[in-house]
Amino acid sequence: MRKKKSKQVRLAEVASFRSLLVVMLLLSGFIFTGVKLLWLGLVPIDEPELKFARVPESMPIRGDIYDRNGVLLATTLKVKSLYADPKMMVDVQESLFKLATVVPTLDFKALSKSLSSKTKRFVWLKRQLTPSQVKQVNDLGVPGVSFREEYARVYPHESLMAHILGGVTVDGNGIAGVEASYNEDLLAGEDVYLTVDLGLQGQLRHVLQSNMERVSAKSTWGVVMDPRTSEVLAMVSLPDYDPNHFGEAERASWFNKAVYGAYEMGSTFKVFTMAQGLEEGYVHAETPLDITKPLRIGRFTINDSHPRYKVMTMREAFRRSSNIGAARVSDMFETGAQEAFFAKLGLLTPLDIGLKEIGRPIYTNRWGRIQTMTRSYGHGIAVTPVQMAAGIGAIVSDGYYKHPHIVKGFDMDEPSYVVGDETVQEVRNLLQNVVEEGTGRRAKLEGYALGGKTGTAEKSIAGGYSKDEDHNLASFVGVVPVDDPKLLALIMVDEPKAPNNQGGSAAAPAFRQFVGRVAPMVGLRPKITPYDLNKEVTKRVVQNEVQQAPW
Amino acid sequence: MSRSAKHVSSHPFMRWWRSLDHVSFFLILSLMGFGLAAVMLASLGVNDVYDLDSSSFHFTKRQTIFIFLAIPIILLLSSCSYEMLKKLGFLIGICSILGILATLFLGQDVKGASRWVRLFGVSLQPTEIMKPSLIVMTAALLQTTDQKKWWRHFLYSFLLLALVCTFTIMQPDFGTVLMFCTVWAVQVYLSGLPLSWVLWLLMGGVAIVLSAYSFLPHVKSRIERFFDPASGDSYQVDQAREALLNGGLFGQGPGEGTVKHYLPDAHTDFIFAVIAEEFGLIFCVVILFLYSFFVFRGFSEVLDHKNRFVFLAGFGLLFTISLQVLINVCVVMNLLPTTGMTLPFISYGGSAMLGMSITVGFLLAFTRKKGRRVA
Repeated sequence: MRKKKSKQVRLAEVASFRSLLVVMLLLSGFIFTGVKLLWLGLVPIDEPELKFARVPESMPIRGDIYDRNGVLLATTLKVKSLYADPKMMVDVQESLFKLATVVPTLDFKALSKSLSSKTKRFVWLKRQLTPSQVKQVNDLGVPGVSFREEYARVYPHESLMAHILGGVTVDGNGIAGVEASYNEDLLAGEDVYLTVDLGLQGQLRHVLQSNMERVSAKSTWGVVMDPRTSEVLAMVSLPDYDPNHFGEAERASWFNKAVYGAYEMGSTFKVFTMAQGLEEGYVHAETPLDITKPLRIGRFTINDSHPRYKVMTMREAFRRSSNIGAARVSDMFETGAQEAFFAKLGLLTPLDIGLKEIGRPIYTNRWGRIQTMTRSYGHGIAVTPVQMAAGIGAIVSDGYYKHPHIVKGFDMDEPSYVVGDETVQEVRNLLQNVVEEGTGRRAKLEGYALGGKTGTAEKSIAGGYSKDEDHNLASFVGVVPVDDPKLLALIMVDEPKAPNNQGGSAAAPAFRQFVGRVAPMVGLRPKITPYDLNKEVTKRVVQNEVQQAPW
Repeated sequence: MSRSAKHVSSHPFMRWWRSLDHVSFFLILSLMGFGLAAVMLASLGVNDVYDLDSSSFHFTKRQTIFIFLAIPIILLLSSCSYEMLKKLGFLIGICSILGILATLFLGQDVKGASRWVRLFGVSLQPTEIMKPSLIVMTAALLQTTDQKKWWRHFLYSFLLLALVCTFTIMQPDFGTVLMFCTVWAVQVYLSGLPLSWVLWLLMGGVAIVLSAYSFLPHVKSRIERFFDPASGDSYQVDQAREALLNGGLFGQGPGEGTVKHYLPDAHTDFIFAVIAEEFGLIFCVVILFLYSFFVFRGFSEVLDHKNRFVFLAGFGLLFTISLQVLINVCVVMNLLPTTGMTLPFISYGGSAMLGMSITVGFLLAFTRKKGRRVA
């Protein structure tokens, strides 16, 4: 009993000692916290230094960008940007109200918070003011605000070269297009010269714009190339944006469909199929092809969109854009030959043309008999428009593939052999035949020998192909003059509305309009006989009048 | 003697009322009242964050309801006898364990953790209610002075803790687990654990924190963000610290603060930042003093209490309140990593308010003046 009691006493002693220890700990915790709280209020905040990245005087000004003729496309100007030093401001709200009369886009809520901060000495109010805004702000006499000199990137042609030039961030770093791909050189103050011709670019954009409205399309894009060198002379993707205000543009408009989008091209691919058939000796223009019925391979059926079942020559099959005809020709190829031929045309690898955007073709690695046949008429493989244009360019110019590029002095491989002269000649004839009598008739232009090929791809939607007549991707690839091409243009129209929903009706007329406008600019004279001069159409061409949509 | 006789003859309700520690009770009431004002001010901004109508007083109305539910709970519990409190402790504890289990299976995910369970249309966070009941259960187990019995009960309480912690860490809520373990360790320490075991306990605690750091990604990221703010997003604590500096000693004035527009938790975990910005740091120290006054007044009552259960339970409850206040304030000052600890009686939240009212109810029952116990 006695022992137990003493044990209880001992326990109580331990308890009171230990509890006192814990209570002391807590007490010191409270005292520490309280003192720390007061300390925060009593000790003056470390005066933040008035520091910001000064523009070093030695830093070169970002280089300019010019077109092939030396026309200025992008340059850098000195502008003033408005900032505030919260410590020097007297009344934040009043100052903001005053400044808003000059700069109406100020974010009141965010700014009144950051300007009330005692830890900041530098708050941007508005970057890159116009000279008149600078004067008005000075006239307001708001204390605590001041200007910093900055450099602003200016694009005098606004949206005309949008996707080619890209744009820069407010801090002057390229974010898309040439501005991004040549950012290092431009930052070092070097100028960049493009292969683009501002005149052709303007005409292409105008033609595409009016054509898009004519056929009520969703969007449209085009590439103009010199097939002899694969220099890109013009490239437009609509809708576009104004690179002077890159950040404010709609995101969808940033996308350069001409280099960055990969599409199933449809019938324009038949140019490659026929060229391969000619080059490898399986067919010539007069070879009869069996197009008497749809082609059945296993569970697949290949049919024409406008069937005319009969035996026809290869030339006629091409002119009528027969899928069955193209499939029959490709079926003659050896296994792997088509893949090798496409590879020679640069259709199977990502393509860098000097822009930040590097387009990638899309196709499955399976390349059996079915794939060969569908790819012979441009389905089951998606390539970028620039790849398409360069591939056609190789076959219609001298038979050599030249790496397409948009910047002068672009580092690239030597031209590589694809097809021989005879094939080149034959393909030119086939293309001319399409424009003279075939699906490309609406590209025909009096006085010029044109060649081209139409394409109408059904857009693949949710795994299958749209059978809806308003969901096509219509295209036309054409060359002028066809006997020695100096210009090659690929024009694509996304979702043109019926009845102008085919390559021949939606895209070919735009090509004709484009050639009518630019041929004189690039020194192509119309071939006109005295007899032709009596024709009304010819008169207009001679007088260099632009044909105003006879369609 | 005649005075006490006079009291004894009064109505039981009056006897209970006279025995109550009025100072502590009114201290808690005033903290709740001030908390309501702070929630109202904070919700002016937080309404925007949650896309609520700024004039809806959504949080203020709900907090008022919580307070009016909390007061009767405090008063009811404060009238209970010690034996009754033990039973209630176990009852509430078992309900909470079931509740925590329920959160695991049918809980609502809020900000990456399922800590809430819906009961009769009300969201409850059972861990908040677990806190006081676990303390009372542990105290009831450890109160014995018989050595053999004590060791057995020590084992029971450890198993109980392990069970609760396992369920809680699955939610996951590591801050609360740490809280459970710390308070349990303090209670075990006070009840006479041999010194050699105390060392083992400390090592176990370190092991738990280290393994949480290496196995629980959100714990790891919070600790890393604390020690190296550049390594991740420390938005909340940066804003809170700036609010303290902006407030200065005297504050910007009620309603004049801006931090509440930028902190989604301005009305809950970070309400101290709003108070500091609008009322000033001196006022904050006053609040801190009120808390410590309540806590140390409580300690002085329970420290040399004859009843070991009251001593252990009361100490544990007071320790929880102190720890929660200190941790919350230190997180706002960016002296500790963020834990999700609320400021007792002031932060918005029904579960926290319920848990705290149970805590205070128990405490007021323990500190009732001796010899005037009802029933």
